[in-house]
Amino acid sequence: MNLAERCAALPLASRRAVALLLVPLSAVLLVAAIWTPIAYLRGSQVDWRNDAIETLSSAQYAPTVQAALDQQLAAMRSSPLWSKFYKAPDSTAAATALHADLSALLTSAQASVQSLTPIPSEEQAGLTRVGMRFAASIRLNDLQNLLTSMSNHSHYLRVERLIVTAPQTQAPDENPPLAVTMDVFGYQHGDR
Amino acid sequence: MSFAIGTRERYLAWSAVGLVFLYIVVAIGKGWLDRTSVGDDLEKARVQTTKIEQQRALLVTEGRPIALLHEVMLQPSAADGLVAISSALPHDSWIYQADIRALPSGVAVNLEGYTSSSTSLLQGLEGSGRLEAIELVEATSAGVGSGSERVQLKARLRRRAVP
Repeated sequence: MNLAERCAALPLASRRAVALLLVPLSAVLLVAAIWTPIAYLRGSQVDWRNDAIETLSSAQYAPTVQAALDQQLAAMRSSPLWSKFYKAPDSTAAATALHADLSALLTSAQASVQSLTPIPSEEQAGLTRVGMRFAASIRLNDLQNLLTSMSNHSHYLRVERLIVTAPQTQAPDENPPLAVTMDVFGYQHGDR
Repeated sequence: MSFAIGTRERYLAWSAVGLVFLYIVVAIGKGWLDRTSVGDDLEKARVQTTKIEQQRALLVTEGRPIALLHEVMLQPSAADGLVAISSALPHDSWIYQADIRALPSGVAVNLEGYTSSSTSLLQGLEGSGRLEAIELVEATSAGVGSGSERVQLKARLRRRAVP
């Protein structure tokens, strides 16, 4: 007895149940067996085509973008901001250079320096900053000159803290020495 | 009841299989043709795109230190605070102690000095537009008959007040 004869011998209710289950299942399996590889094939080709369209359409702007990037790279490499860094192999060498710069600036501002001590260097947002704290006696006009010289200096010198103390009693038109304490920081970069 | 499949059905089934096979062959052939026809252009474009990406990454990496330094330079320093105080201070007031700190939140200023009137000093500083969050910490008489007040105040430098 083959499968068809066995099915034919089943009661009517069982035959209906078998038909209702097997027919849709066979249809689904058949469609899946044919459709899945086709869908995969189509999908991979559509993806490739979209990628190719995107790449080829961006290629027409590539020379312009390339030229702009070359220009930006050249501008970045020749930026005057590089000279604002202390170019030193390490923070100790940068701190020594900062010390020398500040000594020269204080001398030219006719400041009477009481102390000039290093502040421990630290990494700040990816940059190494070195600092010096000095205490000096300096007149107001000389302080102004000192700050101007610092802002015009070839290296970037940043005043993070400034304490200025003047005598409590002063006569008009007097220019007494002020006690000044200043934390000055410079930034070190060793790669360029 | 017979389940025998006739010649016609067999023909239809083989036709369906043939059509599916043909579709797959055509689809694969079209894909191959597409890839062959634009292959060289696409390769060139990919090389260009890769080069641009590499250069862009180089620009970001190499330029990072100066971008960071520029950011730091845009932040007001304690020296900017001193300049702001000097220009904001009314003529009838003078400072004998200024403590100015550049903090990540801005420039904080602590001042001690003398003024003829703490109220007018505060109004003057506020009116200058260079300082904000001005707070009078202490105001005492500088002495009987002196006509002035000894004041202590703190404030913050306005961001846009940087010269």
